[in-house]
Amino acid sequence: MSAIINTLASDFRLFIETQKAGFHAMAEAYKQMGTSLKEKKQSSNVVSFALQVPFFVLFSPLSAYLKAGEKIVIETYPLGRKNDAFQSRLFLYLLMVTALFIGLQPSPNPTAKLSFINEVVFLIALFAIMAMGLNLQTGLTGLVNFGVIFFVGFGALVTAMAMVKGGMDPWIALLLAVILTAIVGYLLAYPTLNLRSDYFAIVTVVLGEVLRQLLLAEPTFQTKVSGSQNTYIPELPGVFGPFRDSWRSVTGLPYSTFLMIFAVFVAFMVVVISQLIIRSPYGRVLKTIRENEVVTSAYGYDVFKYKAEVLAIGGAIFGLAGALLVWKRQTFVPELLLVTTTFFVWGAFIIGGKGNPRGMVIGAIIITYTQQVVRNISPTNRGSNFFIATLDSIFKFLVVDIGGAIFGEDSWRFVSEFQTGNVIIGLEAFQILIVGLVIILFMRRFEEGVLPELPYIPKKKPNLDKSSIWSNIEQTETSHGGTKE
Amino acid sequence: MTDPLLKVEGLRKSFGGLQALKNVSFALNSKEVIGLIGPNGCGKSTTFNVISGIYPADSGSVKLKGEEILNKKPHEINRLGLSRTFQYTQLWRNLTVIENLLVPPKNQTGAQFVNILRRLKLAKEEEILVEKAYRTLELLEISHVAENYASELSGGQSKLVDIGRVLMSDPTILLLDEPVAGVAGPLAQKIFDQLQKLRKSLGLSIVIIEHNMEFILRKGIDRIYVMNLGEVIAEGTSDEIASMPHVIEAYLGG
Ligand SMILES: Nc1ncnc2c1ncn2[C@@H]1O[C@H](COP(=O)(O)OP(=O)(O)OP(=O)(O)O)[C@@H](O)[C@H]1O
Ligand SMILES: [Mg+2]
Repeated sequence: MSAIINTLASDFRLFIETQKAGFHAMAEAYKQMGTSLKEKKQSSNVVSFALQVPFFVLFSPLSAYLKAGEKIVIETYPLGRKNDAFQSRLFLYLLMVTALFIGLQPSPNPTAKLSFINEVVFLIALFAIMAMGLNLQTGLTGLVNFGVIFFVGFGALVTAMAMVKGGMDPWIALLLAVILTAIVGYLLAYPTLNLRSDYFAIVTVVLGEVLRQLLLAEPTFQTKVSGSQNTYIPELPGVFGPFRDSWRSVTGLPYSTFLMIFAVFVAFMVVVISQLIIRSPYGRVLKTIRENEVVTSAYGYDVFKYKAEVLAIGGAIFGLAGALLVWKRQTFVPELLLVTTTFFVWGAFIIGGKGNPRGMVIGAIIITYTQQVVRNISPTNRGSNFFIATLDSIFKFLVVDIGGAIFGEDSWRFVSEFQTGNVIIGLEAFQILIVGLVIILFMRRFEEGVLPELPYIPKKKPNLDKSSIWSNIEQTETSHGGTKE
Repeated sequence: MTDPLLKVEGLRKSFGGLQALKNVSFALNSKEVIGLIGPNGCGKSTTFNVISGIYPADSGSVKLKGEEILNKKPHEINRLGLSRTFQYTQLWRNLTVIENLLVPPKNQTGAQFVNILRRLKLAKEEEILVEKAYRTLELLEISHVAENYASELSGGQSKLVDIGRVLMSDPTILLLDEPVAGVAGPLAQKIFDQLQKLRKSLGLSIVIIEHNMEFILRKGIDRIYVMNLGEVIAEGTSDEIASMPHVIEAYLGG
């Protein structure tokens, strides 16, 4: 207990110190800006300078602040974010901040709030799971997979078919999805792994689209009610019934809360498994394949076997995600197989820090949140406060008047409600653009991701008697790793 | 004498129109150190690449303890006890130096997916290997960079890590492609001496490609094969080689 308090206290001190140093660095930055202001005015380049100022004001203090913070952190924890101890704490703190964000999200009533939490946390877990599958294949082994949605879609398809057409228990359907997707991943190794790596990437891109087109053409594989306008089946017939009812009556919570908790549990398990892999000699071999597979094979490892296994393990994880998706959406339509999903998973993967399971969770949080924010930009006309009213009318002018002039009818795509003077603006049309921007911003600041891959450093270092190194090695070698004496 | 440990016969290999190996034959006996020399581009590295299975051969034969290994996969050949280094050092760059040394040891329990849950056993194995790896680094005088990324090393340091890595794989046959090129003189000497010792204590057999005649003509190298234009043109002890007119013309110079 006292150990925990000590740790918290020392972290707090560190936090305060980073704050101080950050402000110091910020002041320095402003001073510099002042001098450069004077100098620049002497040269006549006023216009270009005027253009630079806003960017400088926005970004320079921020990055100075972050740099100063990082310096102190590195002094305390060597290697900074690449230090395991620091990274695990940073991870916990980031989770806490996320919880705070989600908790503080304003909403009209508790029911709406609960369903918001159910949705957002579920999506974070789902994206984290998918990103971790990608992490094993691409981050660890270097197999560039642009076909995340193919594997996930296949898992979803299997789940939906097993439940709806096969009438199976949802748990069995989930298991089946995991196994079959793993098998598909393994089999995929045979035609593709002898290709050069960039061609492998192209194959994976195509697969997802092929699956989607096939499904669109073949109604047998769609679980939507034929002929009805509504593509969503209210519930997958029968199968969830008893369990869902008892969940409701026992906990008094909606079924989606169960799904949310289950998804978080699954994500947690996938983190654990990923860590086990990454920290084992098995994961080490995978990393060498990423770095230089010819050398790996020259050291006795069957590279093909390892790659095929990773396609299967990643496939199993994607299959799991697919099953969760069907459980959540309670339907399966080809439209679920969006290429953008692959893009978002890649975003989480890059932002989080490739090679790092915890990083995948952070990446998933950032990407999901960005998507969520983009979906619901707050409504304008929010009151009589002069400041807000001015902002609102500028916003309205830009989006409704200018946007309307440029996009014409299309502008209604992102201006969804226009009664009683309220404008709700959803920037879904710009979703990819904005997520892309977020990725670029993070890449500039965190080259290797927010939580970079940890370097391997042995926990216990052997005590070597330096005087007799040259004779020692022979003894060790002859006894094949035996005792020191 | 019994059969040689490694017997290479009539090896041929061409890249498109270029015949890199026309007729390469040599033999390596148990616990022998032999040298492979010749001018740039004569096919020395290609010979290694073919023997270790990196490139498929056009024809010929490579027998390891009497077993034909030509056109077997690289990992299968390695498991038979043959390890090699590459002329251009190819470390696993984004791994730490110590981690580079932990991959080569054979038969690691944890290298199979099914075993990743056997934490205790893995930890025990790892402890032994880590100690061995540190010893190897000490031997090569680079233990101070053990925890650095391999990508951070200088050229010579990388060469040394490469040697360490190949020693960690417990080979019976070692193919070394210019192992000490770029390594400072005294340390290079020590490494050559050390390889001699290892040969005795571990029963290693070694083939070395080396341009530095000082090293190659010293005592301790049992035989030298001289290559030119994809062929072995001479074979003999260092004294014999040094006095052969056609060798002097092709390689040693004036
Ligand atoms: N992968 C390849 N593709 C095409 N040609 C190759 C390849 N590898 C080697 N060669 C050619 O084969 C010939 C022999 O090359 P090799 O690398 O074996 O020479 P070497 O004897 O090791 O020379 P050096 O002493 O300079 O290392 C050269 O002419 C080279 O251009
Ligand atoms: Mg060469």
